[in-house]
Parts: sequence; C-alpha cells; structure tokens
Amino acid sequence: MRKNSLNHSLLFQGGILMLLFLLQFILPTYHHSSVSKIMLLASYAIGYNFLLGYTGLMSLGHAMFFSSGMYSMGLGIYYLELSPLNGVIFSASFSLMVSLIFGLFALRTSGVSFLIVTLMFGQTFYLSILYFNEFTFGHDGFSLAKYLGSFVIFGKEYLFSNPDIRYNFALLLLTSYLLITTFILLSPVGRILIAIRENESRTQLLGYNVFYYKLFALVLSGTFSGVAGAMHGLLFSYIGTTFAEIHHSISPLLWTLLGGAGTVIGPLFGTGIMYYLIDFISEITKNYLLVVGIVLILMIIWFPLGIMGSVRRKWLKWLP
Amino acid sequence: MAPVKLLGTQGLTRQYGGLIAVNDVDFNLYEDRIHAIIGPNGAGKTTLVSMICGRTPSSSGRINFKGKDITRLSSAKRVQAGIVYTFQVTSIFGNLSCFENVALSAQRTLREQPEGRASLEKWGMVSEIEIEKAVSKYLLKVGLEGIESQIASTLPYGHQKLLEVAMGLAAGPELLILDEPTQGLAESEIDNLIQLIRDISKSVNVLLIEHNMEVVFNLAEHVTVMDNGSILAEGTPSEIENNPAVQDSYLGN
Repeated sequence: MRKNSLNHSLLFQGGILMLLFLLQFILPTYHHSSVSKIMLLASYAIGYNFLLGYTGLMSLGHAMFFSSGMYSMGLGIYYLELSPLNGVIFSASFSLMVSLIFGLFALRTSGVSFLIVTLMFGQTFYLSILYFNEFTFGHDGFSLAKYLGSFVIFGKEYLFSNPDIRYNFALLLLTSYLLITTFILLSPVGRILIAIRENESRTQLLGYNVFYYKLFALVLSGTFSGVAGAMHGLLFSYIGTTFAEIHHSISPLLWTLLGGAGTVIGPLFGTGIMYYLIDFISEITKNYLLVVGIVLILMIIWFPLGIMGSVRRKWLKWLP
Repeated sequence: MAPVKLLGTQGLTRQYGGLIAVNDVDFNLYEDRIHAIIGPNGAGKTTLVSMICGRTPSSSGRINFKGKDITRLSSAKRVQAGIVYTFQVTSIFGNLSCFENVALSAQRTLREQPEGRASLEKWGMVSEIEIEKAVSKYLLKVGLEGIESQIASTLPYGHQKLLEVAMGLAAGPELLILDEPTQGLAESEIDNLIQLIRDISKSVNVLLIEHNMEVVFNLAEHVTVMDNGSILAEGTPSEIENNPAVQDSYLGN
C-alpha cells in the first residue's frame, strides 16, 4: 500500500514539476522571476515542514539555518575564493554543523520551550551577524555579482543572474527536495517520524530512541533550509541580514500552515499563494500584513489542515 | 527442572511526594508461566510495572532482567531488550491506519534480525514486503485480519485493545506485560482474549495485571497480590484463594 502511495505521489509531483518547467516558456518576465523566487522559498518551506509537519516540532528560528547557509556560501566565496559549487557544498556542511549543534541543545526541550529556544538562537545568530559587521558587512549586506563569474553549459556561457538559469536552478532544487522528502517519508524512518508527531512517548515505548530521530529530522530540516539560503544568495547575488530576521523565520511557518503542514507538496502551494497574495495586496495598501493576518485567521478557523491537508482528507488519501 | 528467573526487582520503591506508591518491593518472575498481579485500585500494580518497563523512574531499588541490571536503561532500550508493555488505556496511534500501527512496531524487530544486514538497513531500511508480511501475521494472530487500511481510532474499543496486543507482539517481546487487557470488554470478547493470551503464552512470557478474578484464576499459574504498595501474598491461584489475609483485604469473602 506504500508502493501505491509512492507511485501516485511521484506522478502527482512529477506533473506539478513538469508544469513548472513548461511555465517558464510562456510566463512574462515579471512572473517568470516571481515563480523562480517562489520555488526557492518553497524549497526553504519544504525543509521547514520536514520538522514541523512530520516530527511535530515548531521552530521560530529557521532563519538561522537559511542565513547560515547563505552567509557561509557568500563569505566562503568572498574570503576563501571558493568556486560557486564549492560555496554551496561548504554551506551545506556548515548548516549541517549548525543544526547538529543547535539540535543537541534545543532538543532537550519540546513544545513551547522548544519554540522559545529556537527563537532565542535565531535572534542570537541575527545579532551576531550585525555585531561582527566588519566581517559580515552588517546591515548593508553585500553583493556577490563580481565574484561569481560565469559558467558554461553545452558550450554556452551563462551568468548566475541569468533569469533562465535562476528559474531552472530553483526548479532543480525544488525537485530534489520533493524527491528526497517523499522517499524518506515513505520509508520506515518516515513512519517513525510521523509516529513521533502523533505520540512521542508511545513511540519511545515501541523501542525507538526518539531523540535520535528528532535530531535527524532537525539536521535534515536545517541543512535543507541552509542550502536553500545558499542557492538564494547565489541566484540573486545578494547576501543580507533581512534573511536572518525573525520575520524570515515566521514566513516558512505561515507558508507551511497555509499549504498544509505534513504534506510534502503543501509548502509549495502555501508559498506561491502567499507570495502572490502579498504581491497583489501591497499594490492596493501598505498595510498588506493586516490582510495576510486576516486570511490566516480565516484559514485556521475553516481549514486548520491547510490547503493540501484538506485536499488529502477529502480526495487524495494517498498523499504523503 | 528448576524454573528460570526472568525478571527480579530488589527494594523497588516509587515515591510521589509524601505518597509511597510502591514500597520496597522484591518481585520475581519466572519463565514459562503466566504470572498475574492483582490488588485493589491504588495498590501500586501499574506503578510497579511502569518502573519495570521504564515509563516511570524508580525512586530507589534495582531491576534485573535475564541476569542483567536494567535499572538505568531507557524505556526504549528495555523494549529492545524484550520487555514490552501494552497499555491499560489503549494507546494506539489513532490517526494512523491499523497497518501503520503494527508496522511501526514490526519494522524495528525485523531490522534487528541478525542476518548481516547492510549498514543502510540499520537506519530502518527494511523492505516493505517483509513488513507487510509481518503485519498480516500479527493481525491474523489477534484475529483482526483484513483491517489493515482502517484508521485505528475508528475501530470498536475491543478491537483497539486487540490492535494494541498485536503491536505488543510485533515488538518481539520476551516478557509481554498486559495491563488490564479485559477492562471495558464485553463477556464474549473476554473469552476470546483469554484464548488469545493462553496462545501467546506458549511462546512469550506473560505478566498480567487484572481486576477480573475470573480471568486471573482461569489463566494465571502464579499470582502476586499487592496492597498499599507492598506485596501481600504470592502463590498459585488456589493458594491465593485460600489465603486469609488476601480474603480479608481484597477478595472480600
């Protein structure tokens, strides 16, 4: 029955990814760039959802992982003169380390205390970036454009800031995240993670050391977020503290809740809808956050499972 | 052949503030017989077995299982060692299907089978086909075959209890602790369960905590009576039935 679920969801996700691939040929420039951005942010949200939706741990500090990936990539390229590829690899190992160390501390807590600890760590990280401004360029951030250079695919030279490159790299990242999470979730490990979300102490009494599985989920979630941050820095050639701020920790939570926590594809829908909603409303009023807040409250009242959570309950029971 | 001791506690105590729930208990359990713990509400039965399976830390005292001191092991490690507890109030994963419930328990024991598995499989990569086979086997054993895809919380209560037993069996126990398995069941379901427990006890050591005396005297080969956190009496069912102290405090006539 799991195999069924795997086949169905691969088809479903494959269809959506194919659609995204084809969209790039018809989208006007503005939306082309928006969708690239959405795919990058959705990858971040997928990483976030791996912790919230499957292990049940709610974090308010994921901007730390996102920006640790982004900054380690950027500073690595700037100071260590790494190639972009090595920069991304460096950022993956750096955010893995950060999430591992963070997890060893934060996972001693759960529930609201976990939320607060993640918030504290996130703020500390943000303030450290500002404090060491001689090294990190503080508030202003810095542009990577000069250091990235170009690269060659099929004998043609490209810049990272090329819109087509941006779109397809973002799509590639999204695709790999979707595939990896789907496979993990439909494996026995995924079953244990879901069990932890449902009833942690019962899972422990089935003979599983719950701590290790939570640590695994946290490290994967943090590393996914970090690499998404690195890719964001690479494709937009900009490294800045806005990505370490608290609102950048709250965003993936909102995207995930809107799209459906505990559904693999949900964060993509949540991110896309929220992105365009803000885009649309901010043209009408400056107080767009008010409208976003109202939408979220209505959402929580009528669709507490999120968009894909409700879809799963009604129609697509096999959705992972 | 002398009976082999499987589990023993020495001076096991649990204090909640001023209340001593379990007081200096030396409890021994031998292999190959159904052992029952009886006693009035609040006698400390559930606290005792909770300490044995590691759900509740002990205030003092030691616990031995198969000759090893397990006092400091986590509950997960004790399950891995073979002490499996099934809950008094069913504690299944209500939102998950029955298949998932049993699979969760079964996949760990499949993983631990010593067949020289590759290192990836230590991370839980057991083949789904193996898990499916095991799940059907355990569901069949408790008489719940064919309900794999049903969501666990939608089962009738009696079936939830059986599902809990199936999860317990799938965890590969050497000692299966059943905490009030017949509580809340109908007469016909109880008869069924007695048969099942007798069947299980052929391959697994069973420790039964039970209020229903008929069930106890029907199944148990050895009975421990607890009262006020201490052991009041021990013996065969007939010895217990004729013990004046037990009659006074508990059996009532």
